[in-house]
Amino acid sequence: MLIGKAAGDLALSQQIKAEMVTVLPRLRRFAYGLTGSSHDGDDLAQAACEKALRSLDQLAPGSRLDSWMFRIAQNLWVDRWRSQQTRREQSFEPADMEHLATTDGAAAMHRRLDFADVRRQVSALPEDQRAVLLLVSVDGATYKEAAEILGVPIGTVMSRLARARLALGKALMQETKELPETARTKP
Amino acid sequence: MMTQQPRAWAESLLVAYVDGQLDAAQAEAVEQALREDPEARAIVGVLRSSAAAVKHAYDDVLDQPLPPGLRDLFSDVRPDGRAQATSKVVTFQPRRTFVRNLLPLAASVVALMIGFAAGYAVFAQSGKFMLAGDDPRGEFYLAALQQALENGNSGASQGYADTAAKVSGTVTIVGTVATTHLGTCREFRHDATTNAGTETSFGIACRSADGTWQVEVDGASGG
Repeated sequence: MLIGKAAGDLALSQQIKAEMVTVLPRLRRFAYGLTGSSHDGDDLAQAACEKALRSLDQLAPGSRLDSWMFRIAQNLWVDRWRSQQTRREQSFEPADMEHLATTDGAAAMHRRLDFADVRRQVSALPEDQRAVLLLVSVDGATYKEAAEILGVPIGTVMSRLARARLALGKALMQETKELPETARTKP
Repeated sequence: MMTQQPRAWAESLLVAYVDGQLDAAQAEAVEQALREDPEARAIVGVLRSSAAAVKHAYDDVLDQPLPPGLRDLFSDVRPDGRAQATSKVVTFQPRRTFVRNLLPLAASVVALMIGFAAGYAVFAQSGKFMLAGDDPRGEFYLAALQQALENGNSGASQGYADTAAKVSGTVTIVGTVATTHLGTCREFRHDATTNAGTETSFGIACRSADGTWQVEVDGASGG
């Protein structure tokens, strides 16, 4: 009986591991976004997977494996990684804003905004806003899923997401020196 | 018309509207606010634009091989859990489709040319993507699409005949648009002929960093 159960557990854990492999690309992308670098992201993703594999017995039956893995990564990031990154995060913003303020308008208009610009601006967002943004606007989670992963109410997801998207949009528009369409609309 | 009244909306409601997370009644209320309030419209534009800008900003890791540490963790898992893609075309399968919000394609291409601030309304609506293995439209169509996208010239067309599925068709490139965030995108037209007649639809595919084409919009009806 016990042996049978152990064998069953082994088969189950192999099945879960196979499923985890299919989540890895998205987990790496999420961790990349949280940390701001693909290398640090992979370290975080690996730490999250190690923790998940150690605690497979805590995976509630019927719960979503991807949400569970994302939650572990997010918690690890908040607990362990954030303090290590704080200094680097803070060094981004002021210098860049100063640079932008002196950029020639016409040249900036034609400057190609690339993903590195976007990632830099995302890195400048507050931690809690960035996590929501990555879950919803990069990974495509519903607000409900994001709320479950982060352990916050949906209303909090909405307000953090709105702040993140507005801040990001404004920062990127400042980089392109373009005005929003409606700003030219006559009242 | 200047309005001094308190706003009938909140940013969080607008973001939920843009992301298609509101029920019909709530969405209707937001649309009413959008008709009346230019500030609300401006904010919706920003919320759309930022969603489109960030959506693919981290995608380069998706295709990168696993680093050794992660690979070792799963070394006992057989690699056949992952479906082999038969085509280089990677299709998007939106988890949630919002046909209601889909702009006419011609308008969306114009929006792409206008650039960032005008917003990629169409693209912001896409959900997660999956590999082409799940695509119900068949490898012949995808192969023709791939061929036409690679060729790239406006008017270039590529035919296919899928005898098993009893469908034949032509993929024609309508035009190419250089975008800031999505790279080179091509609008294509698909004429598919079955026993029931010929059906025309339109789509947009954008070339990703690794050179594959990602279909952002497909199957939008013409006109």
